[in-house]
Amino acid sequence: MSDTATTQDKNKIRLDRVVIRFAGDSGDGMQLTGSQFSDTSAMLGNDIATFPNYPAEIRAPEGSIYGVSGFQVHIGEVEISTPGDDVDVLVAMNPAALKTNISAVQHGKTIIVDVDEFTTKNLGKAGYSDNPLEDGTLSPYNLIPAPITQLSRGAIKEMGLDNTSMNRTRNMFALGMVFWMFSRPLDYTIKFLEKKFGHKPQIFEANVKVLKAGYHYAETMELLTSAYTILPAKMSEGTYRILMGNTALAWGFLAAAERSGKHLFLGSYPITPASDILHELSEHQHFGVTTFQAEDEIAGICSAIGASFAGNLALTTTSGPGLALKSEAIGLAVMTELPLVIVDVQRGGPSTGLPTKTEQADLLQAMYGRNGESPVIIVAPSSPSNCFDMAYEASRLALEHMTPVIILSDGYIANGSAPWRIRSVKELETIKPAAAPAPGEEWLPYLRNPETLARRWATPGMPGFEHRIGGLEKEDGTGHISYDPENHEHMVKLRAEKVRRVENYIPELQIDGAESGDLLVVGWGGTYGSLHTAVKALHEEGHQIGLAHFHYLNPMPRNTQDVFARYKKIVVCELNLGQFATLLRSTFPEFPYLKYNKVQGLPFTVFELNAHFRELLNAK
Amino acid sequence: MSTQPPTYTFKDFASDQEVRWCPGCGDYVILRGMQKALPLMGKRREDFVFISGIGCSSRFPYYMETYGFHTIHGRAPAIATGVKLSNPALSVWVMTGDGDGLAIGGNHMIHVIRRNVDLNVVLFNNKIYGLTKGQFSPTSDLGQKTKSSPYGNTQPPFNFGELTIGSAGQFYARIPDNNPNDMADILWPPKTTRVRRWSRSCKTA
Repeated sequence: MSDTATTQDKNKIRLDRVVIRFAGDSGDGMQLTGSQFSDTSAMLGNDIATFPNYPAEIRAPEGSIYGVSGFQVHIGEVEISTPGDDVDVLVAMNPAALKTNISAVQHGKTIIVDVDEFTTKNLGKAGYSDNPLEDGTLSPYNLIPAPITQLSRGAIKEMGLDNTSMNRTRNMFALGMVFWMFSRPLDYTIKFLEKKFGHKPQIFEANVKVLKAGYHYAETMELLTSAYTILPAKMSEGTYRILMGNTALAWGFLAAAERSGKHLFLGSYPITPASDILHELSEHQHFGVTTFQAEDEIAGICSAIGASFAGNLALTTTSGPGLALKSEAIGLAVMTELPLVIVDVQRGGPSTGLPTKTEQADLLQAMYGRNGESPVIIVAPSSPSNCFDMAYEASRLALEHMTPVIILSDGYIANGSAPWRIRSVKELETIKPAAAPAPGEEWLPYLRNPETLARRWATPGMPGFEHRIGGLEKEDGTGHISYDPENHEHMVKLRAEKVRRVENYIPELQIDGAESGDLLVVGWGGTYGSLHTAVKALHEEGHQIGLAHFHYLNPMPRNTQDVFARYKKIVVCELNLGQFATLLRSTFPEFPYLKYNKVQGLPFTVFELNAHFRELLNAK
Repeated sequence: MSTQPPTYTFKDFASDQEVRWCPGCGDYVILRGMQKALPLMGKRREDFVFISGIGCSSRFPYYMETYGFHTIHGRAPAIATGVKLSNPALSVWVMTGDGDGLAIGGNHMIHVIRRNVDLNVVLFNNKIYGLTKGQFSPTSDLGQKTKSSPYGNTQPPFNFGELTIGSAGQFYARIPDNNPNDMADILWPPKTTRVRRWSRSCKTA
């Protein structure tokens, strides 16, 4: 197929970017379809960002509104930082998928539907009283009505497959059509299908036939007047692969274990949307990783604390409700000054909330959600590929400063994917864990490094350093139980100071856009892509607007105050009701903060940010 | 770690901390029994780890000159699992009580027995919450009058032996706290997740 693609190139319209959304029933294989399109585009060298959007139900009733699963991909020759606001091409496999996704498509853009699915029954399930294909609803769009089910079945009718197996190939037909529209080769997907269905040759063959049928249908059909092409993006040199945020986190931990000389231990309990980290690390026993799936969230973190006591790079992974359950144990790690990394892949809350949707509302839980004065380091990755770096950073800070570190990821970057430049482990700065004492050396459990205040880490099995630690207040130095009032206050301040001093070991805040001026946009975590794109566009228009995006939330970078002082207005943008703004108000009360918040389980769109910033810039 | 251990006596396993249980408490007997048993096990002192939760029994690690971790209520089995999985050469002991091990930590207890990661569990059963001064526990007798059951306990007790068998435990032994001389024998059985339970009477609560 790649030959065909090359010879066709002359007749193609070159686009610098395109957003495609595949939507269908949760049983229609939309996540797989979208991933195949993304991976193929990544192989062609496009910059890329993806966003899967799927229901929390295991399998909602077929054809229902709440059973619709979507996968959006944004590919470009230019820099791509978000999965895109508006959809250029929507593939809707049934009426419910059309109904729930049409609002993302602007007039004049393309909608591909499977007309065979627009039956009276399915229209009813989607809440359509009239068929939108016939009543003019879709006339403002470039509608491509394709009999996808019928043609898919037709392509494989001779093979003697059962009904279900035949219908399951429909997604390949749609994928084939979109592959042709955007001049993508089929070979990557064919290889993928071979691997997936290698043990079922008939199913493999059927999927390939339908994929090709879709491709050729698009090629010969008159509705598609021309195909498009998106040339490779200019990215800094290196070998790239596409990586999801959760996988990137897992790999960051593997790299940190390698560069710290520590064994990696994960104690975890399954929870959406964090379980993929457990799955990924469970596959890497060959790197000496131990994964332990515990009986509950508490046992997950407690086993990690045990592993840390025994000298491992220890972590636990969870989402908001799990972080709540782990809070007492985090306090124990604070008190015993053991290194520990806690990953919270945030989702909509409170309680069970919106398990598959994104939110940033666990910041204050991470910051303050424990009894007593219980400071921890908090960091937040800003994109799927940055998850690798922040996992590495969290491990470094935990091991070098002997304290728990919370990573606040979110469902959006955890499941989103982006190109990631493959690095050699040697490119990463060595991690130097708080040194164990040399044999025979004068030692007490709570003697500290005078600069970092980290205590030294002696672990069971080391002769001569037998000691006891625990959750009761410690006497500084000896680590003996102490109820002395002065000692308690001293220790409370000392634990706070230890975390505060981490500011000397983290990078300064970087500014995108104007270094000073009218408006400073402040963000943190997974909203970076949208904020960056919106700020960049306004800056290029000539506005004095800058973005300060925080990767380190506690402690904050040393230059935070200096940066804030350089702008007339500061607006803090987050997917909650203003938690970081609250934190900033108490840390740097000298500045006035405007807030921009959204709590819909969805990321910011560049459009809404752009409009809001423009308003702030104009209201001088 | 694997070289021949020195010859120890019970004194080598006594820490410099003042023991703070009530006078006459059976916990003293368990402590001395443990300090006498460890020299028999052929391991080096640094390879023993004592992990406890919260309660009178859970003060135990502070009094042992070994590695020790006094953790949070009920979670000692989970923390001990992490230690043992990280370094299987260690001899890891969970020191717990009837409230810590069977109430707040009951779920961890059945799972740690089920998994059999080669831990030792010593459960001090005094049928009462001692540290919090006298509420009924999951092993209190029916009708037992306590501060939180002034008209008699209405909840039937767990039998920890049955719970151990029900969780596919490999070894279970029980000994009263007035029998220090037999303790070393009980503490030195074959390699598997072992559960020992002391029947203990609380002198205070």
